[in-house]
Amino acid sequence: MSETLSPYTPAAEVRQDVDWMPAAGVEVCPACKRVFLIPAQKSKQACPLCYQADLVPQPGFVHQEAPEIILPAQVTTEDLQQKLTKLIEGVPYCVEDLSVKNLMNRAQVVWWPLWLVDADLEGNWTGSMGFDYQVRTAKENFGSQGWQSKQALRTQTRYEPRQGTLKRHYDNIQVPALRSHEKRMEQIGKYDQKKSVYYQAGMVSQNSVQLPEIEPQELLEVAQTRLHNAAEQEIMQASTAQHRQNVKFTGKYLNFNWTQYLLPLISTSYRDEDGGTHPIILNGQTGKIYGKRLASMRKATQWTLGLMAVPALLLMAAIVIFLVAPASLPVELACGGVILFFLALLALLPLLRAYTWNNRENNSIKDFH
Amino acid sequence: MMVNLSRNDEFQQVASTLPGITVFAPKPKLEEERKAQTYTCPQCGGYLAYNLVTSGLACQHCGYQATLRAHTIGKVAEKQEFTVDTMAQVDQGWGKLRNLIHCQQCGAELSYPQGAVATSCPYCGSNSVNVTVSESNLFQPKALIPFSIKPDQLKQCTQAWLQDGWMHPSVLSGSARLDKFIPFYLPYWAFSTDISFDWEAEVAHTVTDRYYEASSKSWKTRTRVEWRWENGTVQKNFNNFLVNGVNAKRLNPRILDELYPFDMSKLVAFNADYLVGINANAYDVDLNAAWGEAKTKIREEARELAIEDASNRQVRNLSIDMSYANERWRYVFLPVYIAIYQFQGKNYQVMVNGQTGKVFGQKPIDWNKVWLAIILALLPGLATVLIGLPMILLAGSGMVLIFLGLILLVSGGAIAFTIYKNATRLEAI
Repeated sequence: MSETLSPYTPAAEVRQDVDWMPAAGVEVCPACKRVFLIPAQKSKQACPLCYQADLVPQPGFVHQEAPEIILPAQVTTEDLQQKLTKLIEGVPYCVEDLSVKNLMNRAQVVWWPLWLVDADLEGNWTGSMGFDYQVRTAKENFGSQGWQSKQALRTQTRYEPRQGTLKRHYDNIQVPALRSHEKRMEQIGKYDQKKSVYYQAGMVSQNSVQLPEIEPQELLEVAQTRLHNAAEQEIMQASTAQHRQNVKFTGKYLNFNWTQYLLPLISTSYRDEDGGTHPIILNGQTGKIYGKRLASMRKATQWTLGLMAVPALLLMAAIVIFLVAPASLPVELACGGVILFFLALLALLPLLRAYTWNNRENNSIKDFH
Repeated sequence: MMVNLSRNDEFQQVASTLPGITVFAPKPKLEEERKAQTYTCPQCGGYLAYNLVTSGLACQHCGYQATLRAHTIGKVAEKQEFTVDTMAQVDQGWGKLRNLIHCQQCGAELSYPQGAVATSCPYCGSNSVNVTVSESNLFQPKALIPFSIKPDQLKQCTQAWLQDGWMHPSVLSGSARLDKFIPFYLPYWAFSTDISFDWEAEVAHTVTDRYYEASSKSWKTRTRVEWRWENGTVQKNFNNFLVNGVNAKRLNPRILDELYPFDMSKLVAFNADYLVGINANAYDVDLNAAWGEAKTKIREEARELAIEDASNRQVRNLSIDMSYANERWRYVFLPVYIAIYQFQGKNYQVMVNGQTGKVFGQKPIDWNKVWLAIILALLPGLATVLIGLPMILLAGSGMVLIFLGLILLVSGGAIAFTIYKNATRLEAI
């Protein structure tokens, strides 16, 4: 396998403007170490992804070529409001700050990158191609009527060796630009990339843009694997096969060209009662949400205390009665004691519910990428 | 970097649906066109024929011999699937093979609608005929089992068979002339398949109860049958399930069935040389009909397997849901010697498995012997009863003899019935 990496422009250190996003600067989050291109009006604000620290302007490495393709954000304000309303629904003793209004106000579009690689493949290939065919079979039943036979068709695959030459150009083969790419896709789901458009100047100028974490030099092997997969798919198509196995390509990978592809993400956040900030992110195309919804332990405690007041008052009344007339109503007092005990247990329910809810949310949403 | 694949002898370029990608596939193994061959002796110009003694080609005039290289393929002999395309061809009728046999010597068109692909012309005796000609390669046998039993071994095999059994005339082995055995390659369909089925049935369980009988004021036991539902799953592999392809009117299927088994691991790749001077029959029973016949037997075996799988063989309301997988078929030629002998003016057919030497056929039944045996079986009982009767009438005793006689009579009756049944079965072959 050749390891030819055609010339591409390495990321250059910038201190001020980037050609394709004027009036934006490179800023880094001290907490999550993510690097962004931030428009001037949003400079030094909280990190748009982790919200754990304010961004700090500092020189960074940015590719001067504009992104090649962009997937426009398709979640409308109404969609967003609907999704957030649904998100908050059912949260017991919801944290004060976790409201649709607050989340809507803080919502912002953040673009995140993928690498697109173009290359030429030239060489020989070998492999097994699978061809579907149908065979006649039968389903047989034996019962009171004797044997009943029913003809059926079964699809089988026949693998045959094939080989050949390949001289094809592949465009826009996607290669992750973030180390957390797969996890993020798991969290907010896949994008329908058919809706992508060519990038035009100004399309992202008002929003934060996350910069790639992995440079093309490091991705050569991944890129070749993905190009190989694309070639395999085409070889199968060229062979009019439906399946493939053990396809091997021996040849050159030439004329690499790396560009960026930007995907939309909507991020917002809320504060809990201890001052901690919790991010919520949405797929900018499908609206799939990822983020934890915390219950307010303070509210739950208030409810518990409120409910505890009833048995406490009754207990005090019982004590007074007992002190005034110690010998009277012993059976009624015993019953009252049992009831008071159960009322006290019931009063613990709000606290217990909030605790288990938060526990579940914290367990299900651990990493935030 | 790119290798010139067009020079590869084993692959040939095939159509590609994308520019920039060439596709090479293995060259199809071209079926050697089975044209008419004249088997002429290189020494004297006489006719060559397959010699069963030397297992090679031999000239009947000058004794020239040519060895035949057998390529044993055994279990790897090519199997075909029941693909939709194949079966559509079967439905349309492939059976033109038998209409196209042409004698190179006298020009006779051997039109055998019912099947023989004779390699010697019945008109002129020439062995220069088209061995097989058909519209589709699928119809031609891909493998055969060569004859292992030499003609000189046949007499020994058949003599022992003729002497076997007491129901036949004593003079049979001495007077029956079994010296004209014709070697035949008979068509067989060999099927392989995996079956799996779920069964459900009510299975009889014998239960013993203790109960109190009020009338006798005692505890008693009784046995009753309790039906319990059971179910199970069974899988079974059938390999080389043979169905003969000859019309039952031409060759006795009951005799053919008795010639099994054939050792299919000895299959060799089809070579027309094996057939020179030996008769071969194309199939009369087509693939669909043969597969239908095989499935009928498989179904019965499945039913039997389901019953065996139950905890007791006594079952009722049995239901089976069965499916097949990996169904394959092969069309092969298997070696059989066929002979007709005459006894008291009547023809009898005998066949010998050309691989194992197993003999089976029709044999006359000596009904005098059979009736004598039946009488002998009944006689002890009858005699005892006949002695017992006067003793009762005259002396008032003899009940024991009558009773013993009846037992002997019933036993003798059963033996007589078995003898009669066997005799009729053997005669019906």
